[in-house]
Amino acid sequence: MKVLIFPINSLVLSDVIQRLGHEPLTMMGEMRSRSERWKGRGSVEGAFEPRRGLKYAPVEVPSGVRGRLDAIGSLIEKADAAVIMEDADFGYGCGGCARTNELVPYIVAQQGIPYVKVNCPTDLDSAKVMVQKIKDFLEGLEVSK
Amino acid sequence: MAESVTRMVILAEDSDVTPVQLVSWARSIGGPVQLKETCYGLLVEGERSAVDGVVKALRSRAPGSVFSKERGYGIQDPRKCRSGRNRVISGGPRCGFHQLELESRLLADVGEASESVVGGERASAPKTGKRPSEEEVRAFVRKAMEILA
Repeated sequence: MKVLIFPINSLVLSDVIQRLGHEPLTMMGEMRSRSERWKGRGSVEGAFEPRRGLKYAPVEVPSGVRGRLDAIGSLIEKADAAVIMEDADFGYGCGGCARTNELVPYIVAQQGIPYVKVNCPTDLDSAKVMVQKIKDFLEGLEVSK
Repeated sequence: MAESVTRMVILAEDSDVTPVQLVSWARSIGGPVQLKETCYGLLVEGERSAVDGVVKALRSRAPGSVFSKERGYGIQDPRKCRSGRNRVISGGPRCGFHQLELESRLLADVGEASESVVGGERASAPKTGKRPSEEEVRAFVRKAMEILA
């Protein structure tokens, strides 16, 4: 099952989902496919991404946000399920845009993708609760399919 | 040509395994992959099946301390690699390193948790408050009835 994670570049969620036998959909994977496609270019960001991002956000939204939403939106469309970490205090790099981070859970809910919200672990007990919650959610989805 | 991927293999902070050890394990596993030792662990690049095989084998050796995620750019990609930059704009960590640095604090707990939960242990949410006993509930109801009477 393809599982979208949020924060989109989280190591913890990506690793846990892979350990549970599913495929995590991450920004790194999306960037990899784009960077292979545009190997000669200096950057993987171009002029068309903000335009394609209009599918997910109105024109008033800054172009940088729309560019990110183009990449994340294509992942959302591929996703069978989503795992959202609510109070993650990390958000660097592509996951560090506050407006994008507001819009992604909204788009996930709008598209009707089943999702689970987990809290960022602070100690061993909360880490166990987080992993258990993700495991139960994904097993429940597999049973219902 | 088969799809090429790069995966970062990251060690937990409290791990006994060193990046050098990780590289020697990966070499002993073999396969058509390119390896690069880093301060946090290892980069593995090659065809998806070969890379996944190496990562799976490394994880089975130290399940609680070996973590992995995909990397957007290949090893020594000139768009991101610091070695090819000139002196004026060089310096500073590669983007993505700060995220890794922050998340590495959680790895020890998450490693132990996923090892036990994926292994079959059942974790439940910690109880936030104490449940009142039957006697306490009866006393509360009696007191409420006295006030209302």
